[in-house]
Amino acid sequence: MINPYAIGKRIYLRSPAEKDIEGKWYEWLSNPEITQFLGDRYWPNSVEAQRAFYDSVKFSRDRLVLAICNKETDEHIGVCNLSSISWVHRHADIAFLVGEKKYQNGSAGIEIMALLLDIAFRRLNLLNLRATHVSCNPDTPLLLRIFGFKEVGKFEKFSNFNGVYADTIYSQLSRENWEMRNLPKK
Amino acid sequence: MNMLIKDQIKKIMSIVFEVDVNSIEDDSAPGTIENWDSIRHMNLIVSIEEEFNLRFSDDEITDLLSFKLVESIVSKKINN
Repeated sequence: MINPYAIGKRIYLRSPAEKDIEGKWYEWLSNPEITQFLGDRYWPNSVEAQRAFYDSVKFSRDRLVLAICNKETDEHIGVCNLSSISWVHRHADIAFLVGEKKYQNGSAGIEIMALLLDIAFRRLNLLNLRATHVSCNPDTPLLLRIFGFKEVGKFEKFSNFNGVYADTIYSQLSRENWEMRNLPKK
Repeated sequence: MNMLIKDQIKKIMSIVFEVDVNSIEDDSAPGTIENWDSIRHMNLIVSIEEEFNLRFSDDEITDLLSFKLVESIVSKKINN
């Protein structure tokens, strides 16, 4: 493992590195299949745009961006982040993207979510997380449900997906609810 | 008791993965059941939580990757 920040059972998270910029990272964000449920997916990505993003987040304290890597091979398979972190209200947005196709159909998403929640609530001491997804995304509602997120609101017919206007749905997980499932009972 | 749990889990798996209940064995896992993809995996977790009226911890959720592991974790939670 290279510079691991959070270690799971099959994957680990680390700070993005210069070498990631010219790797597959920028290509994932141009691929319509990979980005189909992302809000920001209409413009092609490039090495230059990826570098600008990397430069904008590498010292950021209101956005934590982490590379997702295979623990055995160090392969960079995706990217995840806690963004819009408010240190006053102690909340943030949570999101991840698995770019490498062979990892999209397995349990990687579950492990990424478990690691990110641990980082958010235990290491960064946040109190609330918000997740946003579109109603035509079949995977995310299940994932959020498993980890205890509660749907709290939506914008109806808010985003255009291939000609169909889908709802944008907001879900919330509080640290209190996360701890109820994850801390040993006294 | 454990036999009952085993049978219940097998039944849930057969429904979720759309396979014959008799084809589910101790070592059944994503590599041995073709239909065990990410969506069905999450459906399996939700179905088991509902059937046994329990909630898995995040650590347990990341371990539910074979019939044997599911059965072991569910049994432990029910018997505690």
